[in-house]
Amino acid sequence: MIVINNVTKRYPDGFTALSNIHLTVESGEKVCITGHSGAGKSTLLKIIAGISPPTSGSVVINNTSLNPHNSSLKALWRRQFGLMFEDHKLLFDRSVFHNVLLPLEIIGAHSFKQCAQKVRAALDKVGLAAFEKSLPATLSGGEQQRLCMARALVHNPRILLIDEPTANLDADYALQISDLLLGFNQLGVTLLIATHDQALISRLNPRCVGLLQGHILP
Amino acid sequence: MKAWIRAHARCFQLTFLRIIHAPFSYLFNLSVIAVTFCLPLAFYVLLCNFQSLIETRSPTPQISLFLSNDAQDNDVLALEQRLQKSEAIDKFHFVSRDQALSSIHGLSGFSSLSELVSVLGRNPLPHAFVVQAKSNSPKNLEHLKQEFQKWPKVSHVQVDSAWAQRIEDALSLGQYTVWTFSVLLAFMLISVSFNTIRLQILTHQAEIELTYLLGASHAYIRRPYLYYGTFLGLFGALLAWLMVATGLMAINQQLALLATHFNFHISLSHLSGQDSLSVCVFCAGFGWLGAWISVSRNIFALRLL
Ligand SMILES: Nc1ncnc2c1ncn2[C@@H]1O[C@H](COP(=O)(O)OP(=O)(O)OP(=O)(O)O)[C@@H](O)[C@H]1O
Ligand SMILES: [Mg+2]
Repeated sequence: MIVINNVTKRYPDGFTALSNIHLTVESGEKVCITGHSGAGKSTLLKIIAGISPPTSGSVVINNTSLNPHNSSLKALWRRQFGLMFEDHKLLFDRSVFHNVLLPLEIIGAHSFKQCAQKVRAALDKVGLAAFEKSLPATLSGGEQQRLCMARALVHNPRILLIDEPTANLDADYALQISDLLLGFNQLGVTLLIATHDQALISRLNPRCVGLLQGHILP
Repeated sequence: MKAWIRAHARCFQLTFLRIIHAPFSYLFNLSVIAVTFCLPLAFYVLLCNFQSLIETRSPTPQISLFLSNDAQDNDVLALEQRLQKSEAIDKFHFVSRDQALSSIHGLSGFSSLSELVSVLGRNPLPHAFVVQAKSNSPKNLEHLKQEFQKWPKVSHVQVDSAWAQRIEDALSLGQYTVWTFSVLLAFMLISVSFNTIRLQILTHQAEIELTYLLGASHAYIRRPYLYYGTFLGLFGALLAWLMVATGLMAINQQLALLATHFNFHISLSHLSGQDSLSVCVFCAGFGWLGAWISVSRNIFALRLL
């Protein structure tokens, strides 16, 4: 269960991106965060992921609260999520395979053989099995997006924090991604998705949380 | 433990991949380190050779223990046993007062002394032990002298070590020079490593940021750069070692040629295994330090950690 308690985020330039956010997400729930551009959707996901510290308030997951001052605890905190960033953050100097391998390497719990199996399984799920050796720059926008998806899934996280998963995808692949997310959700994975995509929302049938200029809409 | 080994092994691999990825910049950095390091290393090697040459070619200094005039035979025996037991002594022999007198008799111009003896009715010379120490460093000789002076019935200890002191002074001047070079070298290593790693961090900014976002620990992010810096120092030292070895080979060939003309043989030898190891550890250590400072400063500058 994710509990966001009275979280406010003010950026160093003085801009308040989120004010007094209260939000509870049950485990296994699917939640879409919607709102206009600049409403604070990505900011909220970054705060939950422990990437950007809240100015005030707290984030608690399964009774453990995020300590923004202890960097090694924060690192461990981040590993429990599957993260998909709106700007992809792919590494263009290494192959598709090694991009997906990265989260497993960071966790470091498996042998290379086991890792390779997991990577191939993840690539297979998003339909990129044939591109294992390619460089990300040679992939289309949609393929890159699916690559990000594979990287978010590869270590079987219990919570997926996903920023704009279908922004560059055509209807077919968007549908495929939605089904993939649904499949994970059915296995008990909690979904938190920031999106504008109505098709995705109607397919997932999630609880929708609207943001407007940093406030949650009633 | 297994995970830890795996992480390091993977890091090793990554570092090598990085080096292979941009071999020329790495080689240039290495040659900067190696060439700079070559000079003090060569100087040090020559110094070591000079030192061992002196040790093998110079006469060994002797310590003379003069006993007091009232020393009896059993005192002499006791001292002899004590000398035998001492670890620091290579060999020694006893010169009795009669032996001393007869050796003086043999020298011209001392006939008056024997007359003096007959006038005095006794031999004024003391018994003595002549001792050779195992180590002939002035420091050790001085130490032995101090110790012998405390022994019973020893009235005077004389050490012939002025020449040893002079050579020791010359050598220690050389050693100071080596130390000065080493300090400069350490600074150079740190700054080359610092700068190289700084550039690396700039080019890998995206990767560092991503690994941080995906939950990598500080240690995980630091590790490949620390390896890189350590390798820079280590390989720089090895390269410098090889350069000096090549130089020595060339010089030794010339020396061998000279030896045929002048009928003496000298050849220069390289650092001992232990010294070579120390040199490598020294360079690797400072390469690591430079990398560590760089990583701490420059990753912090990315405002991530
Ligand atoms: N690092 C930052 N410094 C200052 N302001 C920021 C920073 N990051 C985001 N903002 C501001 O915070 C507001 C919310 O940004 P956020 O990225 O959360 O929006 P969003 O809802 O994800 O929008 P979009 O749908 O376009 O992705 C924006 O107005 C943005 O300008
Ligand atoms: Mg956004």
